[in-house]
Amino acid sequence: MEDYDMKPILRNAMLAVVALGFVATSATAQTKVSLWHIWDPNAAQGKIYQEYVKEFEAANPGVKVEVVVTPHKNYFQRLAAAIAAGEGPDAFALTYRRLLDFEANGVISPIDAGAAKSMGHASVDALRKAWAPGSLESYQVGDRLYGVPLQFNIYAWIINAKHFREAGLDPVKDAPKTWDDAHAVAKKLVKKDDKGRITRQAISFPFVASAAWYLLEFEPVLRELGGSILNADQTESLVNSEAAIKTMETIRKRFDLGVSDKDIAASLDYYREGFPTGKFSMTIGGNWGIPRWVKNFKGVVKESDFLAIPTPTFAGRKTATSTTGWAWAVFNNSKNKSAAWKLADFLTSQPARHLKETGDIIPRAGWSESEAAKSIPQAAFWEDMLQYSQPLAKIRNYSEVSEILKKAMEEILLSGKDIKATLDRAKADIDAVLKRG
Amino acid sequence: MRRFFRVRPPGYVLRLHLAGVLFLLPTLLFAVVFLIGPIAVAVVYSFTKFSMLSAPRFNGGANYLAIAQMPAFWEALWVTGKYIFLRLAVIFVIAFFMAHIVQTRILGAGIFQSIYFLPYVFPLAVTSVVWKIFFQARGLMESLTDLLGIAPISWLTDGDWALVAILITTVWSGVGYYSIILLAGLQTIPKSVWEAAIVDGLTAPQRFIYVTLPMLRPTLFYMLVVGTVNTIQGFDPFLVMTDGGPGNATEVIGLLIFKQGVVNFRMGLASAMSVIVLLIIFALTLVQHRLLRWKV
Repeated sequence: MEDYDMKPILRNAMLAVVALGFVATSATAQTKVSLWHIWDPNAAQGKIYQEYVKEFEAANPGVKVEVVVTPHKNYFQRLAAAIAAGEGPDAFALTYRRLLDFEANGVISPIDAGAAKSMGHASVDALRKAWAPGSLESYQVGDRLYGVPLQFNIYAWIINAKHFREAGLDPVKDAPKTWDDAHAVAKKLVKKDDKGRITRQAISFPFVASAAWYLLEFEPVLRELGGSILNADQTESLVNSEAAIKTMETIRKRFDLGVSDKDIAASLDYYREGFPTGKFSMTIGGNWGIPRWVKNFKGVVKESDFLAIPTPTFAGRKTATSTTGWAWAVFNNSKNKSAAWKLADFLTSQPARHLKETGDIIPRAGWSESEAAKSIPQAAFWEDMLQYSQPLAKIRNYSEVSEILKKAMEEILLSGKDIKATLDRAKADIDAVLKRG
Repeated sequence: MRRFFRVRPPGYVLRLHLAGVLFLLPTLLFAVVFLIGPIAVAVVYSFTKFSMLSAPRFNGGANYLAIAQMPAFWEALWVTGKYIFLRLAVIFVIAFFMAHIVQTRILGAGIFQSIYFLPYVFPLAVTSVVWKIFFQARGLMESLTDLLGIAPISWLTDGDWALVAILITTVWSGVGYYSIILLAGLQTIPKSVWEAAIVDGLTAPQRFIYVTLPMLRPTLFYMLVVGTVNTIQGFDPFLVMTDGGPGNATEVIGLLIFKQGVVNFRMGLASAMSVIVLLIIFALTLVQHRLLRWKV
């Protein structure tokens, strides 16, 4: 019987197994990138993200994107719970209002040279140049940048031009410029039944909306009067200043004059649907408003029913308005940072298509020059408003501070409490929050 | 004489004890992991600064100190106390009346029993949305007050009325459950006791005070303890109907803890609040136990 040397056979067999395993692993190996956001998959924004993801996966065969959508109301709770469990998403939508808290806790990854390279730029400076001036500032802490904007909103006042015409007013000539004008016009626009109950408000108030909407009413007026919510180094609240008191007096006047009804304004879903369906005549609104209402209430309203105007001012002062926005951020502990930044770049790379489909601005450099930008209602007006705008409430502990202000505003507007005393209490509460850090 | 029944093999008692422990082990494990464990973790967190976004950091008693100086916490406790007292008082009166109707076995009592229980089956969050629609301006309640010739009430935007609106909602939702509990309690009272009371010449109110109430002592204790705990924990209607507003008028302690922990990411502070509430519930239970220890 011949003796066979089994060693080479065994060695080759093992090599073959290893090679097969490697091939098999390579064939199935995929980078999985989790992406979290808040936009309903059945609405315009959610739909377009599904399309983008498919296109991104097709362009990057080794990458699989897992999208998780959570409604805004529960989004940050879910996000925080996932982060606490060490299972934060690779990329996620983040509003700049929460950015300071996320940054302070080291949760988000700064855009460094590597991240810029993943997004197709030679350096961070080159990346900055690819965005409209000022659009990245909201996502910056010190010199470090933490996100790329996926949505940029500019706010102003929007009036129901149809209501103006019905009341014998010219929506262009009679559009209110000052608060006195607004109140005078409001008296002509309000409608009441035979019992004296308001059936159509002239101006409303977003009682059922989030605290951000309260601040959209409060902060621009406060800023116009030279005030602010916090001092410059964010160590003390200034919400009981003379400017803040005058701001609240101005906001409350709509109820004192009987041109708004607090009970109707506090009704479920009233604010969201009330303005486009003609239940009130003047409101704070974003650049996204008119195109979205025309789309969502097709056959009920048309573009010419609405007109965006600057937020009313006090005589002799310049208008002030706010911007808000969201960005794509990347989790600091993500194992797929490069792919996550690449995805973030892709999701923001088609501003014209995005604007056309959703009405949302992605402020890449030159966005306002595109054909799509020129086709949105009153494009020039919204661009002009940028010079009077500031990001809304970019403050530390935003959630707590805005909630305290919301409650104070409710007490003043709904319960009729004394403005000075209520704002003094709000200041004390906010100072305590800032002290806790 | 041989002691047949006293002979035990060596280690018998030990094995007996071991068997007992083994039988208890699943329950003990359950209690430690799911009951005592989370409480212990909350106590530990209450001494930390924990934002959920980063690891907890020990901060001594800073959370308790912050709570002591936090007006919103004491206001929330006051609103909660007011709400518990009113809810349990109203529920007790209505539930007793409902249980009495069923117990007297009038025609259709069984149907009444099912109808009473029906609202309890609906999730409180859903019930709260429906009642919110009823209470809001130009809603069902305004139509009712119009019919009665009463001026419209700002049910959800006036601080005092908002608590009443929530009270109506949660009493409607919970009273059926408590009526069933009371009915079960009433049915444990032997008929002979009532018959003896009638023979002794006690009037109906006297029978209620001297017979029914003392005999219902364990049921009432259960109702008070469970009712208090459920009322403290159940903040869904407050979240849905008023979000604690206007201002802090309907901000109960459960809602405040939820907002501090989950919305503001102050899990350490929220844990400290929870520990304080736990101690309050414990103290309340002891007081209720003491109050209901009167002699039959």
